[in-house]
Amino acid sequence: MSEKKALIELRDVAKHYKKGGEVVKAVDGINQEIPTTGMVAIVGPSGSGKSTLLHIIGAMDRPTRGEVVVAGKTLNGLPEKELTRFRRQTVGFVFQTFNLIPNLTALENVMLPMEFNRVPKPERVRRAKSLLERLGLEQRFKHRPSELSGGETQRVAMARALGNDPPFILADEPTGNLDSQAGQMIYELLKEISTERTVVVVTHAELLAQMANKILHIKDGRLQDQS
Amino acid sequence: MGMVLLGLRNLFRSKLRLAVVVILIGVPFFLLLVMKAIGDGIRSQTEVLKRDVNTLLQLRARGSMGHINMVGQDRILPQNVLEKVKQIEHVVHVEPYLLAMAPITEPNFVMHVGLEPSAEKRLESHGEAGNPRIIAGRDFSPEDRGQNVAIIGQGYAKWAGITPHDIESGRATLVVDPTRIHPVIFRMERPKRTLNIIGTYASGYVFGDLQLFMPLDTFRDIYAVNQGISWVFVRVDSVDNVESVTKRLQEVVGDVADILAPKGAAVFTATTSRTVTRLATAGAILAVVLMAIVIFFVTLMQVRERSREIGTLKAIGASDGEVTVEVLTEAVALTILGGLVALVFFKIVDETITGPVFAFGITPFLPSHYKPLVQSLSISNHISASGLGVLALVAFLTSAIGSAYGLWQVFKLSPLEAMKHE
Repeated sequence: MSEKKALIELRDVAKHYKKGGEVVKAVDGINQEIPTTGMVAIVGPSGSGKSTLLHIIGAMDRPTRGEVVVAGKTLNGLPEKELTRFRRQTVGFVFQTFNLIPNLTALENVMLPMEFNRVPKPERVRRAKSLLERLGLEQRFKHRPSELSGGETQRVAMARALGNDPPFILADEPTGNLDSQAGQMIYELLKEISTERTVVVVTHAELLAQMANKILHIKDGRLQDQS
Repeated sequence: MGMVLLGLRNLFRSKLRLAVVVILIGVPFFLLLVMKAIGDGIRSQTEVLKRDVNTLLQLRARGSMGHINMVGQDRILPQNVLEKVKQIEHVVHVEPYLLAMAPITEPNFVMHVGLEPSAEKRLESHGEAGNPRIIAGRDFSPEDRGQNVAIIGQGYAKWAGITPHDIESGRATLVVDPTRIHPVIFRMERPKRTLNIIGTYASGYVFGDLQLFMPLDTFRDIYAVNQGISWVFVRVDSVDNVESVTKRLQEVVGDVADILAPKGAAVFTATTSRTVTRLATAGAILAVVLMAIVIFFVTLMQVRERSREIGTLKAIGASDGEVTVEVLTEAVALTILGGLVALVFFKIVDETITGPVFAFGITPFLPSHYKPLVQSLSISNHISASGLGVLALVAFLTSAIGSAYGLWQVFKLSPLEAMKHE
């Protein structure tokens, strides 16, 4: 991976919490820079701290130590309101279990983050349709999540994540609930997306990790060798 | 897709659950409507009853009957009592009376009463048999003030040999002689006076028919009573104020007078309407509390069930306020739907069920003598526009209060909830 300007900078980031009287070091002193484009895969065994690291980067959790800088903005110490704005404008989330709102159509689900970002309705509709068409879902605008296949649902979730055109996408086991064929399609889409922005993926899938420009191996909350 | 609209759409995720929740909210709302109708019924019934309740107080000299020539009972009230009484708040009418006794053959004596021509001719035991009714001749007019005229009870007239025909032909007269005595009547050295009898009345009971009413000035002239009053009748504006006016009279008039207050009025205001109104209010509060409890559990259940969804909304950029609006909208909409169902049901069933519901709910807490009141209570299913407004406000506040804890949970939920796998 060629050296580019860093979008995300992690400086001695740690997340410790107490459980049953013992201090658990979920993440422990991670230093890393992630560039403005390309795919980064975080891999490691269960309980290694990879999801915790993803939550910290996505401003859903706060580190107990260290500094997280994204697009030049230090997240530590930002009030909750600012973190919400950060998530709204800077991050797109793709979840393992898709997490679409069940009583909204595919189009409405994609429009939702844009509404939180105060995008005018005609623009929301235009962008949402465009994204769904780009992901091959032009026949599924009016369908609810229960009427979609797993692969289609995850593609709607990806369209939703791209709605506000964020500089990076965080994906937590995005193929964990998909069959191999649907998973393959998601890999390719993530790879395609990563050409224009940063995609950080937590995954157990070897194939997906191999597609990444950078792989971060994490064990016991610490980074191992990286490739 | 505003969060309000999203909250409204959430209502229809499960139609069965919606129906159950609406019924659960509708039942206490119906109870609230019934209690409101009862409150209205009680108020209107109270107004009707108030009109019939005696609000007349009577003052007379302490420990005295107040008859100017009755042995041992001849003390009367000082003249300035009248002005003092007139200045008391809630006193709407004051009537001074002067009384004297006059001996006759069986049944022993009659009563001479001096009053203002416009005053009601109250019998000595006022109220027991109603007021006198003129049966021949005419009533007093303002021109009779100070004139030698009188209206006689039919029993007294019979004793005096005066017939209705005599009265109507203007030939009836009666001689008042203050010097005549009786074991309980003392002699007053005053000349006789002949009065023209202009009317005769019937009262409905024997002693009531043995009175002679004459203008107050005429009475003073006959008996030489220039100052003082035997009795003062005081009309209070409302039964609610009888108690306070009685106390004020005691303060203002002082120790010179006994005050005879209508006992029934005090009992009425202190017990019947207040008790039932309080029970209806308690029922209404219970209904509101029940509604709030239902909303509390429904909201909490929804927040628990949808914690991942709420976390997702926060993760993709919804503020705490926006998610709160969504959940609050749902709670308010559920309450309004429950209220509408209750309202429709209330309009349909009318008093056929509201009456028994009231009787079933309230009467076990009331002494048995209230039952006739409960049974006679007219409960209407009419709800005014302002009443609807109040109910809507109550519904909104109840849903806001009932869902407050659930909303607090929403506020506290972390976007990390989105990451939890089921």
